Amino acid sequence: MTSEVDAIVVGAGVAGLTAAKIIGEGGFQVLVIASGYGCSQASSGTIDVLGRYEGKCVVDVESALEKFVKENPWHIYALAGKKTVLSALSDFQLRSEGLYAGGGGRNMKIITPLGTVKSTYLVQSTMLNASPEALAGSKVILIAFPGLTGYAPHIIAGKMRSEGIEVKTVKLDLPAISPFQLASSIESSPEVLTDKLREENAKNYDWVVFPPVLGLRNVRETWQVVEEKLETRVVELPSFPPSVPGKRLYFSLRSQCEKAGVEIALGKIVSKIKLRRGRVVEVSTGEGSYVPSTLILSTGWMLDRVLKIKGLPPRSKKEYDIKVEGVENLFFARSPVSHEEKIGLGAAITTGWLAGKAALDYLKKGGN
Amino acid sequence: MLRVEVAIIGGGVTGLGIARDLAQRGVTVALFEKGDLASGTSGRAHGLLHSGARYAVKDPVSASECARENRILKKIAPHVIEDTKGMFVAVEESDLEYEKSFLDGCKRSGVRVEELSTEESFNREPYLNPNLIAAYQVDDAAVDPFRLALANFLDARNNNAQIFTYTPVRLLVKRGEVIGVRLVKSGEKVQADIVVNATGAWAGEVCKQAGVKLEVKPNKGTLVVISKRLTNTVLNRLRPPSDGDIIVPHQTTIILGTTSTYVKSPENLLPTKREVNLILREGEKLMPLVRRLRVIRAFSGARPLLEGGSGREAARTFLVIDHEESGVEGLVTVTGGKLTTYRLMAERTADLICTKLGLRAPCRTDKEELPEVPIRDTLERYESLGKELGEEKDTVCECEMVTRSEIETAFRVLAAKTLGDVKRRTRMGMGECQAQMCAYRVADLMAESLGFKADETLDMLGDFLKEQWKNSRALEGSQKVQIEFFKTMYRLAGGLDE
Repeated sequence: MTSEVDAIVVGAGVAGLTAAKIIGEGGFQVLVIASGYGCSQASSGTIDVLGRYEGKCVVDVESALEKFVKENPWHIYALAGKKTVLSALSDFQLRSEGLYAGGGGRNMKIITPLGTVKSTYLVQSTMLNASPEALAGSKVILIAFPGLTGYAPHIIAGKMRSEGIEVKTVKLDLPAISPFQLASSIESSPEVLTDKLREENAKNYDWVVFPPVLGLRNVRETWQVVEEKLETRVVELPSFPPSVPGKRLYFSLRSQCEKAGVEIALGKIVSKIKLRRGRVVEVSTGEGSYVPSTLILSTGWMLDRVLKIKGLPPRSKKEYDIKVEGVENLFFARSPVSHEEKIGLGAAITTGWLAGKAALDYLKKGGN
Repeated sequence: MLRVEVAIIGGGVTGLGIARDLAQRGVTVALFEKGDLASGTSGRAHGLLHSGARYAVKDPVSASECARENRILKKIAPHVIEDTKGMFVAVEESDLEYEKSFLDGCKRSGVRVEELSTEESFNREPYLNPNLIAAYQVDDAAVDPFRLALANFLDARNNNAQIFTYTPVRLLVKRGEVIGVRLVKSGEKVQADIVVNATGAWAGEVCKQAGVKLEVKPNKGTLVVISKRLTNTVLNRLRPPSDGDIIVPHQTTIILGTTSTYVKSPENLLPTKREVNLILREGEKLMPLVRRLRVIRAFSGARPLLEGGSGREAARTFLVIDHEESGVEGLVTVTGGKLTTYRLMAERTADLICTKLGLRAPCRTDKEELPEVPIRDTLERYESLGKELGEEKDTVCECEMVTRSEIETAFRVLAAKTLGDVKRRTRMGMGECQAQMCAYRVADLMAESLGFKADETLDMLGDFLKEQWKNSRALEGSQKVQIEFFKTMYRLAGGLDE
């Protein structure tokens, strides 16, 4: 069985879903094919654009990017240009419907799951105050759930104390089989959590600091209810993968895609891509073939299954160009991750944006 | 100033064995190790308790020493040994050329050998190469070198030996005579009647401090760990000792090895891709499936070889040297040997020391059982699965099912000081994820209840992970991707390098 479609996106990570959404919003039919959920939840959910550069923490992202793109012309940021990077990110933030906060051309500080402090560009809005500066001089309760991993509460508490924050660590005995299960049960009945905390008299503290488990889909609502019930301010910290913030990010991108009419088929593996006369003419999965007008490969850096496409020159690891010479309807959305420069999902969003726009332009010009 | 009769340098199984032996005989002992117990050659061993068969042809002295010690250790340390038995298998026609000399050699050295039919062989080990031509059973077994070291440590300490880890020392020499050791970090001096140099591959360097020349050649051996226990029997290739001819089952894994290359220094040995591939290529001839499974780790250690031409030719016997004979009083060196013969090396060394001290106390280490290590091994953890409900909440390392209380025991009872020490004592981080998922949890536990400061634990976590990552450079495929992923987790999400 063969069906025609305007665009196929392979991969349901942040880059793939960003590209799919853009093409869908442009009024074209999009099918996302992915073997699994994508790697969003394998991130901590913060959007790292450029956290460090030339050995220093970046505060002014705009000017650091300007220098960065000059010195790294191969990088996706250089291919996109500083302006496009920043507008892709502000578009992402706007459409997250309040899930993400920060931005505006500047990095902010956030306490990491290990209690260190890093610079990042966008954080989930429940984490906006998860920095030593915001918590300085205050009295906080730090929540640990026995069995819940993904962060190091006692190291975090120790680091906070050395920053002059008064910390009381409280263990809450709620079943935590997985962070997702815990987040979803807190979302459906926040009082289970707040009742357990009653004895602690949270209102005598300035903040209650949680790992990221205050809801999976309705995060702001859950967060607000918990704040009301505890009668004090509540903040979340990021966590290691598999992370609830990463899952929230996936849900958010997925619902944006669905609103744009994108169809998402998970659990499918692309087995073959056929080229003819400089065009992708067929994409096959175990269950059927598609004839797409454009194909976007967004298979990530981590679990990237190298698709052997006959007739396609091999690409090097450092090659992030979204186009490949000689195949007019094929686009790549692979983004580089750098732990040196603290580049993470910022590059994924930029790559997805760029590939999506390019495919959209191609479709608009009537390429088929 | 501390004053003891005997100061031992080196906390591998040999040094610890000597400490145990002397302490049992009532000698006052202090042992100094520059790193952790069993963190040098002992902890990088194959974990093979030799039957002696491997050395039966070329090195009959070693072979009969191994055969005897094999029997003694199975008696005194059954809790650190898995009596797996071993097999020597021929898989190529050329292997058979070795068969006769192998059988003759075993007979000469008192090594027990029994022929196995092809059917018996496959019944026991179904993943063996289907082209198997001949197979013999020997008394090889699997020994846990970390637990062996710990058992000796506990017994030595119970008998009042003082043991100091992370305490590098230098010989204290006065008018050509060794009178004790000086602690490098504090400058403190320790007076001793006799100093024992039990530093194995490092023995030459220590001797140099007293102006003694000793030729010990460090010989690098690389080993590869596969996460599936494909065999319950130690497998040896029936041929002259060469690269990649042994597979040893170890807890839930198998360890393949080894290689043999002379190196300048025994420090910082890292496996290479070439070595890993060589071992897998040879291992595949014993068990074809190994090539399709995940290599979770490769590591290298340094054998202290004494003499001889190539690394494979050199004898595996040991030497106990009284340097008084060459004019340097107060110094005894023991080096060479095998993990299997560590107890005998300790006995001979302790005998010499007792003679020198004028003591008449017989050795008892061949009769008295070693104490149990108060931490379960992974096979025991598997056995208790389901019996202890609710334990999963306390599980810190999921691959090896290490619990909070076991990690606390490692620190409180077994003198662990770092994350690497916890790994050696509990198997934390020896499984498929190689500690990537649990290292920060252990660090958090250290900050929670073991008295470590937050910054201190983060430094230790960083050092530990760097060491783990360094060793994984020779790996390929999914394990490499996994390590890359976790590097990103710790550094990008965790901001660990800042």
